[in-house]
Amino acid sequence: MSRVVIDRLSHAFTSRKEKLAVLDKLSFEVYPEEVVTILGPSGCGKSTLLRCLAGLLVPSEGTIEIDGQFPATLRQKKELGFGFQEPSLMDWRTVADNIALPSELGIQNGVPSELKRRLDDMLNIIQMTDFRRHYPSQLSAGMKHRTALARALILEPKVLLLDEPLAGLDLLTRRELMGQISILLERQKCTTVIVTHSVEEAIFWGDRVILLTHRPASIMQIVEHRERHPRTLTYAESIEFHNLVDQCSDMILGLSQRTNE
Amino acid sequence: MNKKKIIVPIAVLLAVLATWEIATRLANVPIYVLPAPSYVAQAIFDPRTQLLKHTSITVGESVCGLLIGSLVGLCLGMILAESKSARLAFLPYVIGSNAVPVVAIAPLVVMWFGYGFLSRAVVSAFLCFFPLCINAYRGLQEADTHFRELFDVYGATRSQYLLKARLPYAMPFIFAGAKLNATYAVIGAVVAEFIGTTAGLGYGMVHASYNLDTPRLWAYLVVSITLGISFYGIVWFLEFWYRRRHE
Repeated sequence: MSRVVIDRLSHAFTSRKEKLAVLDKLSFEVYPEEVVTILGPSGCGKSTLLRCLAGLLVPSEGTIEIDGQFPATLRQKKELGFGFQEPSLMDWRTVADNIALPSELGIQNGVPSELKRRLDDMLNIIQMTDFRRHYPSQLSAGMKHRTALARALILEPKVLLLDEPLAGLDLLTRRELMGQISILLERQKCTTVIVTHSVEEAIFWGDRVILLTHRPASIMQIVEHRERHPRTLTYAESIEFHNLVDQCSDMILGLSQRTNE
Repeated sequence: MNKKKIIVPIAVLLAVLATWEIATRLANVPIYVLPAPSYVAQAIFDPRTQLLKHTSITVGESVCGLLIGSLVGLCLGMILAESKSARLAFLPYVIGSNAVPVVAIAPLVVMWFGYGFLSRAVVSAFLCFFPLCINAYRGLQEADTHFRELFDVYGATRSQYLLKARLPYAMPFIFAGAKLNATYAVIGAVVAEFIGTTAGLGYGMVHASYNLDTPRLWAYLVVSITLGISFYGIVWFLEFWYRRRHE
């Protein structure tokens, strides 16, 4: 299982006129099989951090190592799964074909029968077996998100990165998917980093919650949370869970007030 | 298909034809100014019009122009979408080519390629390449906003990205360009036939206008419009078939 080490990571977007610092000397580790959630105010650089972790962006300063390798190397070996904010499904491919897409790209290193087994298994977990031949236009928003999640997990990645996996969904669907994602994370046992701006989601999924400050983001606080996975919606109703949510919310509100002053 | 979609346009056409027929007869409009639809119909079926001969020539030139122009447009659109240097070097000229009046380019093409079939097909192709080129380019570019990072994450090669994401995403744009081309191909061929030919619908129109044979001029016009609509219908059907298979 993989260990992610982020060391003094800084990133700035530069244009001809200005330099916009987004990340400021972030250092932390994500241990094997751990789920770390990144929580912070909107526009603080959470998604930029995730893109750096995926090797889609080269950071201005600092290093990221996954088991001693650069993220780009892991990506080429297809050992990295990424779930985008938007499901980004292909309208011309069925649910099954969308999920299987990663196996068709880059180096072809999968065994077809094994892939088929994993695909069936994944469809079963996300409760979409009956929809395998449907097209994205025939799915609800929640189903699209579940399909995108299955696509990120189909190659059984060592590291899973999820960017706001429930963005744009209604409250009921969010609740339902929160539980399903927790089950998936328990089954896959991969090192996971999830970015979200929802305090509830961050606490529900994370073994540790990293709270970021406003841009340029630095680490404000790390909250430990050792409740076993899979976490159920009953747990989300517990006093312990709500206390943690309140604690994190207070920290974020305190930060906002200090920024406004 | 909704029956209204067929019945309403046909009813409108019949109403216009009826009004036209009655108005021209009541007002005694001279036949060389505006012939009644019945005179146009007579001209269509008149053997001296040689409609089959002229139409088959124009169809050949239009189909050839449509295929060559669309293929060149698609290839150029793909090159522009794939290469930044190609965009820098050629995009302004591709856009500029759309401003060239086809009536002005036709005599030049005839000078370069002679009075035969080829020059008329080239004019038709020239008119067809731009819509497909720009539409394909736009569709291929737009795919980037949705799928670029997804394919980067899984280490996709350029050809995988082109074949699995960009081209399928751009298909509606490509079909939109092809539908425009369906009518442009006929226009290009007809305009090219205005110059130095002895056959084709364009030649027929020029010949009829010199002789003040307005019903026959209208007959060629009606057939060329019908040709354009038929080509459009074929492309529309291809798009319908494609979408049923893939969506």
